[in-house]
Amino acid sequence: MKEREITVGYSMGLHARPAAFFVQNASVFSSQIWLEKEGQRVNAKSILGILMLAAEQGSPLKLIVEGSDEEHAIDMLASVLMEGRVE
Amino acid sequence: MSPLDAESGQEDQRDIVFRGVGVSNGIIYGKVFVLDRKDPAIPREQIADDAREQEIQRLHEAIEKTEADLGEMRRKIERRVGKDHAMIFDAHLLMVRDARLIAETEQRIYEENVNAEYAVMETVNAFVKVFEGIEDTYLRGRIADVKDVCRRLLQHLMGERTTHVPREGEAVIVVARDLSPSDTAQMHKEVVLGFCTDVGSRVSHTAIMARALGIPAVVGLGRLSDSLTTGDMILLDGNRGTVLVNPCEERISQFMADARRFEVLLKKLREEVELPAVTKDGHRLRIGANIELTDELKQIHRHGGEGIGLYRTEYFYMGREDLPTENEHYMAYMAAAKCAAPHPVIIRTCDLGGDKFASMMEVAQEVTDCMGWRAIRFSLQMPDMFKTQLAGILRAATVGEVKVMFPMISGIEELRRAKEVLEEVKDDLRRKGEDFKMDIDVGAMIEVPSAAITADLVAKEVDFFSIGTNDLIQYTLAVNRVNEKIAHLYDPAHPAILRLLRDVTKAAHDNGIWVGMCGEMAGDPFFCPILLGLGLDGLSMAPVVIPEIKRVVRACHYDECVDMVGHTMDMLTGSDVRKFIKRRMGEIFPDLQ
Repeated sequence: MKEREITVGYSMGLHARPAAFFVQNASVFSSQIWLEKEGQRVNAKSILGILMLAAEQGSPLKLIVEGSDEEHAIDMLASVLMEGRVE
Repeated sequence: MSPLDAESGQEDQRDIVFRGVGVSNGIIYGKVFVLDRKDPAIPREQIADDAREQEIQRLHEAIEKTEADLGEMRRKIERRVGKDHAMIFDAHLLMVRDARLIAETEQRIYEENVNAEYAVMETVNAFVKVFEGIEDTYLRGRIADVKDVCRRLLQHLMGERTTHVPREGEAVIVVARDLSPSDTAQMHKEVVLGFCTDVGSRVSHTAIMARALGIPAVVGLGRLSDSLTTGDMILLDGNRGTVLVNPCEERISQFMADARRFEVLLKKLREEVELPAVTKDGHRLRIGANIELTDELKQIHRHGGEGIGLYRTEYFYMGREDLPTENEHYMAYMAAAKCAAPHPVIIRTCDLGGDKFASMMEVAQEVTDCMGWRAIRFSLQMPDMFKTQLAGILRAATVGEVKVMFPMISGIEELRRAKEVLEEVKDDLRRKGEDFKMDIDVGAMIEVPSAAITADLVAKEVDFFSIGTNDLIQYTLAVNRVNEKIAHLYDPAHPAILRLLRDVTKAAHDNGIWVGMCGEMAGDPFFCPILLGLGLDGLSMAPVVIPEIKRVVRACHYDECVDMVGHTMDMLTGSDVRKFIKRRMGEIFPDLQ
C-alpha cells in the first residue's frame, strides 16, 4: 500500500470536469484507490465520492493506492491532482 | 409587430401576458408542451429472495441503456454547439456507472428486498442529502446532474412513464422551468417550434441552443411553467420577449398580421441597411450592435450596424471551469475590432456574479442576485481575472477603435479603483514589451441610480457614458420585472426615468463626453423619437432591430423630437407619456397605424 499527501492544484477545486478527468485516469488502474480529506475517505474511482469531498484549490488530501500497479498509479494520479490537469 | 401595438399597453383582458427576455428571434403561435420535471411516483415493492438477481440484472440493463443515451447526446451536442458544452455528459456518464452508486443500489436490493427503481431512488436521495450539506454553491448545483442521471435510469427501469418531449407528431412550444443540455439534445427540431423557460438569461443553455437551432425563445418568464398546462395555446414573441397565453382569435390574427408585416418591413429595410441614421434635418446618431458571441459579428454588417455599442463578455466565462486566457480575450476582441472598423467597439468587462461564475451549467440566479456581488464589484475582488481581460482589451485596441467600459459603476470610488487596475495592467504590459493602446477610452455604464444622479461628477472621470436602461429602470422604480405581480410597473416611460435620462445626457454633454444607450429601450422603435430628442449620441441594440430603428430616425425631425421631450417632461404619469408618444408616432408613421 502506498500513501501520499498532496494538495489540489485545480484553480476551481475538484469540480465536475477535473473530477471526471481524475476518475477516468484512476479507473485505468487495477489497484484500489482512495482519496481522503479530513478523515473522510472515498473511492477515487467514484465521481460522486470525489465531488462529495468538495476539495478546493490547495486542500490537503491523502491519496492511497493498494494493488499490483500501485507504484505507477500513485505517481501518475498525484501529478494529475497537484498540477491540476484536465487533459 | 409594429411599435404602436407593442407599446399600447391595452392588452385584451382575456389575454395573459408574461414578459421575459427574448433570446432568440421570431414570432410563433402554437400548442404548449409543458416539460414536467416533477419526479414520478416510485412504488416500493417487496420482492422475494430469488427475485433479487433479476432486479440487479434489470438495474444493469438500465445502466447500459442510459450510457448509450448519454453517449448519443454527447455526440449530438458536440456537433451542434461544440466540445465545451458536451463536456457535462462525461460527468453524467461517470455518474451512471459510478462504482459507489451501483454498489449501494445493489446492496439495497439485496438487504431490503426491494425493486430496482426504489433502490435507485433511495440511493440517489442519500447522495443528494450529502450534496445539500456542502457549502460550495457550485457543488450543490451538481445535485441537478445527479438527479438528471437518476431520472434517466428510472425512465429505463419503468419504461417510458416519465414525461419527455414527443419525438414526432404535432409541433409544440416547449415550456419548462429550465432546460438542461440533455433535454434539448433529445428534442427533434421538426417537433419543437420554440422554447420558454421560467429562469435563464441570454447566455443560458436554452438561449444558446435556440439561437443555434434558429427557433424563437424567451427566458426569465417567472412562473410561466406553473401557469400553463400541455395543450394551452400561446403566442411566443422572441423579438420582444413576451408570451401571450390563450389569446383570442382577434388577437392572434392581429399578431400574425403584425408578424407578416414585420417580415415585409424587414425585407424592405434590408435593402436600405447601408443608409445612415440621420434625421430629416441632418442630426446624426451612431447605431451600434449589441454582441456577445464571435459568430454574431457577421450580423452587424448585414443589419447595417455602425460598430459595436456593447460587447458582452460573459459568454467567455460560461460553459467552462477554467478561465479564459489573455490571448483568448485578445483574439476575440481583435476579431471584433477588425469587423467593426472603421467604427468603434465598446467592450464591457465581465458582468457576471460571484456565485454564478463557477457553474458549468447555468444556475440562473442572476435576477435574485442582481443587486449583489457582480459586475465591477466582482471584478475588483478578482484582480487576476480582471487584469487578464483588461490586458486582452488593451492589446486588441491597437487594431481598431476599441474602448473599455465598466459595468454597474455606482460612484467615483469604484470607478477610480477600476481605472487604477487598468493603469497597473498598462504597466505590466509595458514591462513585458507588449504592444497596447496607452490612451484607450474608458467609459462607465450608467445603470445604477447613484451613478445617474451623480452623472455630472462621474462624467469628469471618463471618456464616455453608456446608459444601461434594463437595470437602471429596475433599480430606480424598485421593480423586479420577473415578478409578474409587479412587472407592469416596469415602465421606461415613467417620468422618473425620462428625467434621469435627461440629466445624464446633459451631464455628459456639459462635460464634453459622448453618451449612448445600450439597454432594451434603445432598440424599441416606440421610444426612438424621445431618445433622439434627449440628445443621445448613439444607441446600441440587437442587430436584428437596427434597420427598423434607423428607419425611424430617418423619418424624424430632430427639432420636433426635442420639442416632444420638452412636452413629456411636464407629464405626470408614464401612461400620459405613452399616449402622447403614440399620437406623435402616428403622425410620423401614418402607414403603421
